[in-house]
Amino acid sequence: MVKPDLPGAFEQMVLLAVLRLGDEAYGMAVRRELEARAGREASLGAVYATLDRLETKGLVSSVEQAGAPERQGRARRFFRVTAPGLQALRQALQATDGLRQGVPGLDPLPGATA
Amino acid sequence: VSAPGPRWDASLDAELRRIGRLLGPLVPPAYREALLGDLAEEAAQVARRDGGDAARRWMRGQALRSAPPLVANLFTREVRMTRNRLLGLTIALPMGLLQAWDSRVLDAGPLVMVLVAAAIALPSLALVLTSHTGVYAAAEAGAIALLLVAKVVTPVPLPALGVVAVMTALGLFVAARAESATPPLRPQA
Repeated sequence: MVKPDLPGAFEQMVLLAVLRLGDEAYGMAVRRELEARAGREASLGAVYATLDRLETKGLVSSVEQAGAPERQGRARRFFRVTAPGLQALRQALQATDGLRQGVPGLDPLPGATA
Repeated sequence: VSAPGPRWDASLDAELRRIGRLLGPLVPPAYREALLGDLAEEAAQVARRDGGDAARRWMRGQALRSAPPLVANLFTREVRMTRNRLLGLTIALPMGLLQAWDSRVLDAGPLVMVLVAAAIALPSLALVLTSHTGVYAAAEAGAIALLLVAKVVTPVPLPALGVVAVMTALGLFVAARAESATPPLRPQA
């Protein structure tokens, strides 16, 4: 049985971007990672709204670091995926994969190597 | 990332401040500085690459596209918080009043009635006016103090008066527990 409150599609993308970025996962970097890797042009507001939702659910945590000159002295907030976040992401990806399997034209995914 | 070049100027600073005034109220306080800092950082890069006008356009575009998801997020937050407070209020107010009635407060004289009414109203007001758990704790401490005074000054036995305090505390606890699921609203160190 799949949990009903699994992260949505954009939330999954943000979680994956945060995981990919590791210690460098802050708002702007996440936005750029989404654009570069997923071709998704998200606004900073959309990224922060999603990160806020994920933090509320306990799927990510964040810590603030002091400002820098290139940011006009404003602080950076770095995010990392929590253990429940990783588990929720794994479940969501498995659920998608379970649905995908056996669908004509998607099994295996076009372009995927065996 | 290198420091801003000569193309980051006062007009870009003014634009950033303007956007901050517009978007600020929509962003959870803990994220406000970070979001504006990200905007400044990326705009500085655009300014160095494409000039100040392009950076200004980029910032405005980001602000316009950021507003809808931030408004939606704010609305969701407010609905959740209002629901939590109403839940706490539903427990604190009616249950407190019922217990006060059961404690024969009406037979205890006007002073005791006022003290008990204040003891029930204090946590309920805290729930309506704030979402701060520290205020909840202070309100409950005040309520317990008022009930203790009521207990001391009345010659009439008020056997269930302690339950009034328990019920109001339970209402506050329920609301505070639900509020704790919204960590970004509390600015973090």
